[in-house]
Amino acid sequence: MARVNTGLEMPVGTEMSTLKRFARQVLPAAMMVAVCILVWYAFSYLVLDESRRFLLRPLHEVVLVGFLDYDNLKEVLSGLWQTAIVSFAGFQISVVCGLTLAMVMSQTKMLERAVFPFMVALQAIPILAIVPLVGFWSGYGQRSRVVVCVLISLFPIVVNTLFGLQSADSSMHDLFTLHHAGRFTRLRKLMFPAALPAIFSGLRISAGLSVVGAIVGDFFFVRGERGLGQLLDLYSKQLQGEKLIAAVIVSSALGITVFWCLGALRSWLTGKWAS
Amino acid sequence: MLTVEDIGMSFPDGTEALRDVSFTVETGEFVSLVGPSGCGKSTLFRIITGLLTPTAGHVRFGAVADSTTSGGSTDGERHNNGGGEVPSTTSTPRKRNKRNSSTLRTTSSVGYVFQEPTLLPWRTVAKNVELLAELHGMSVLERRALAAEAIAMVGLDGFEHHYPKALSGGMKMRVSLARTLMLKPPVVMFDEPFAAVDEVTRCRLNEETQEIYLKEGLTALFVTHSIYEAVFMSSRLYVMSSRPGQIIADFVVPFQYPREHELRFSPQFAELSGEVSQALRSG
Repeated sequence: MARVNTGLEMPVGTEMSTLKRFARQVLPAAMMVAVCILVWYAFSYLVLDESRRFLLRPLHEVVLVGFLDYDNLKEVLSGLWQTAIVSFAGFQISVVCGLTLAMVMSQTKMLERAVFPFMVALQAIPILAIVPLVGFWSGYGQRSRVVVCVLISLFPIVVNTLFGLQSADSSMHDLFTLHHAGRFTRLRKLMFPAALPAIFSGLRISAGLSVVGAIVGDFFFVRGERGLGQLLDLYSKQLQGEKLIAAVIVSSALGITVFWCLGALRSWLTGKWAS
Repeated sequence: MLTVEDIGMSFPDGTEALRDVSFTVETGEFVSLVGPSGCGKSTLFRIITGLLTPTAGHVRFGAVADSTTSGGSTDGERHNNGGGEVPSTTSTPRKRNKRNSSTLRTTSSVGYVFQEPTLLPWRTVAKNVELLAELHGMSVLERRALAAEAIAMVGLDGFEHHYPKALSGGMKMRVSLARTLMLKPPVVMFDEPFAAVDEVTRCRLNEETQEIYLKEGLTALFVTHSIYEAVFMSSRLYVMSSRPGQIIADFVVPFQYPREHELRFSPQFAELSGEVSQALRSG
């Protein structure tokens, strides 16, 4: 009897544990979402009276107006598309420039000393202070949006890549020195692979920032197609609460997607060996 | 095979790490250097491999007595070795020799087993073992064959495609050993390679290394702070004093190879270990 029971319990037990593990992973976040929605409804129905309800429309109205109305959805999605293009272009430029700059800096100490303070300064200047200057120099069109993107997303790539390139053990460097490895071989076979995990940390941060940069740029530069920045500006000025919140949700969804994609790429490239 | 002559090393900050260190390692010998930690063993190793330039004295490779530290005799040595041991040599040896003669390095004939396994975590066991051959420009087929051979030698067949993070400390050390031995260096230097593994694994690795030493006819220079390890492994043993490192005693270990595990518990072994210990204390 007991033997039969244990035989039955085994598969059931493992099934339960995977289910449990899944629940443990997802449940806290799901409950948090539920609580947020509850608070949201409570706020718009209990705290705000009828005349002030436009400040925070209940969720179902946001969905109905922002996402299920064809014209509004089209507007938000085309804004999303514009912003995605700009942030992707900016991110690409940042990746190419950032990786190159970091690699060159890793090879020449003098250059590192020369460029690094400049990078820190660039990072320390509030982006809103540079935006008017960018518009002043390169117009109020697409190009300026991309420039803002690059300015805001370059720093994390450079710093993380440089840190990663310098992270290889000194005994590993000794090994390469002993066997007369040249500069380029050392960079390709030792420093760059060693830097990969750090590079991806940098890419992740800077991908998120390039979405921020694209929206901020769009907010200020009004020429050309409308992106999410302009829509946010427009909706808030027109007191269109549902559409404003819909645009905010779409903006954060873009940021989350980019963040998640890079995380997936990272674990695909380094998951097998990185600790 | 290896002659170290009057090596002295003082660092810019004034610390004198080594003073008048001289010894020779004959072909086929297993020589150990025993000393307290901080006696400059690692500094000496870095000097021998050419990673560091000594402030006095010089290091010579090869049996030919040369008055200078020229690469001439070593090049010949290395050439013989490479040609004799590596089958189906394609154009690679020529390339290798060209590089060597242009840089006149005396050190690429030396195998070096680091204190840490120093494996590249993004490479599998097989790829890690192939690394050095890759750096020397050996062809893919050739280095694959040699790597497989070396992996089998250290008893890691079946683990070729594992990443280092999946291996135990002892296994990592074996990979490191395979990587060094794959190039069949005429002299292998061990820099306290088993200091980080547990006692049981250390004894086993000692026996396995000895087996490989006998089978492959290695010439070895072994640094350790364990007296028992040194006595068990070596045919000759030098004791170094603490800073500045000097050689203060010289023992010939009389036990016959291959040495069994049981040797460690024999009275002769204990007696010799005691003498080495005495010499260490006086330094």
